[in-house]
Amino acid sequence: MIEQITEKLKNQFNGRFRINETRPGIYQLFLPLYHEDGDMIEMYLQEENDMWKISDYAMALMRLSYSYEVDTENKEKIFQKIISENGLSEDNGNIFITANDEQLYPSILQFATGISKVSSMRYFKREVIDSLFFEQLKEYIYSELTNYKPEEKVFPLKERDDLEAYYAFHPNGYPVYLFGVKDVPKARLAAICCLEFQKQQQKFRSYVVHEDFEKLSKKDRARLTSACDKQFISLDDFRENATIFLEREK
Amino acid sequence: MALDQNTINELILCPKRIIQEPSSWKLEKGNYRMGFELESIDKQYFFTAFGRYNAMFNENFSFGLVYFPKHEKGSYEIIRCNGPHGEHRQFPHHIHYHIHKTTQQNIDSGLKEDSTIEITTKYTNFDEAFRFFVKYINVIQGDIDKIFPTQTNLFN
Repeated sequence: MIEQITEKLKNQFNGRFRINETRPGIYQLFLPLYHEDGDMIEMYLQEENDMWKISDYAMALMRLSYSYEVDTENKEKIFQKIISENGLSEDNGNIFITANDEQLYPSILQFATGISKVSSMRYFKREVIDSLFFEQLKEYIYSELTNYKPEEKVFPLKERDDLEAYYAFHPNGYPVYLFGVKDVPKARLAAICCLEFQKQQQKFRSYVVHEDFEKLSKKDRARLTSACDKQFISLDDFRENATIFLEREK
Repeated sequence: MALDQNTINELILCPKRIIQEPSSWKLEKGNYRMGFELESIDKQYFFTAFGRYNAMFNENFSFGLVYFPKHEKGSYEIIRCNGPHGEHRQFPHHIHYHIHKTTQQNIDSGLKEDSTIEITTKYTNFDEAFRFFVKYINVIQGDIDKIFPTQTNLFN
């Protein structure tokens, strides 16, 4: 069986490999290694100082830039970390690796792996990361705060299905409503909810967990501060202090 | 938002006006780049468009249209016209000018939305590709004439 598999893979790899001289002395390699959009990973080979240099001539960054820019210090740091941890180098956008004759094949695979990881930086887009905030909040609540009987998606006013508390805790006789806030619309909705619940003379406490308190404008922060009972300025703040505050509600 | 094929087609074909003119080409990390913003003439849809070409291999270029839903974060790469930069999974052993298109089938299957390509002979170089692109995504003729007059060399 092993022989059959080996033979099959040898044939397929060999059959799926070709090379083309794209510019004098620069050869494009065609191997069945693809990006997620189905395009083949661009790889160029040239001889330099008796070594092989495998480069992408900045094609990975060009591709990434369709949807994601490496335009902050942090992003650059992550990019450089991917490059270095995958044994690659980078010069003005050109990602490359050098290899001797013996190491050429494993270096090509190592290069392709690194390029795939650079391309995956598009998953760091804000909307993808943002969605993790609510998941992480939920995960923490259901792993650490179960003593306070968390309830998800609570509508305290029966006639108002547009005013929703993300969670309700029951540390004592009255509920503690929790709102997650990661942007301006969510901040405003949380403020409206708190004010409406108060108007109906409900007995409750309101907590807000911010993804990033500093991201909100001064006016939005003032509105929330006036409307709700307690704000946690970040998820870390909530993780650190939620129990202390919920205990005080008892 | 899950895009269905009718909406995707509408996004590509709806008449569009350019609301922010293209920046000049800038070289950044091995690639020349420019971009501009568009909206549908009924102001329902907002888009950005981008152009890229590689400093070393200028046949490796891309012109793409990105749709930004108004009431949702995120974006969709709706269409991208590419040069012959390499093979594609759909057509091994061949290199073509090609167009990446978002399809409902790709979205429903959990694939990258624009992983389907069409081989094209509608353009055979960078300049033709850009003119094809702005026509194909239906930028209104007045904007094309004003912003991309035909005597202009788009590489400049």
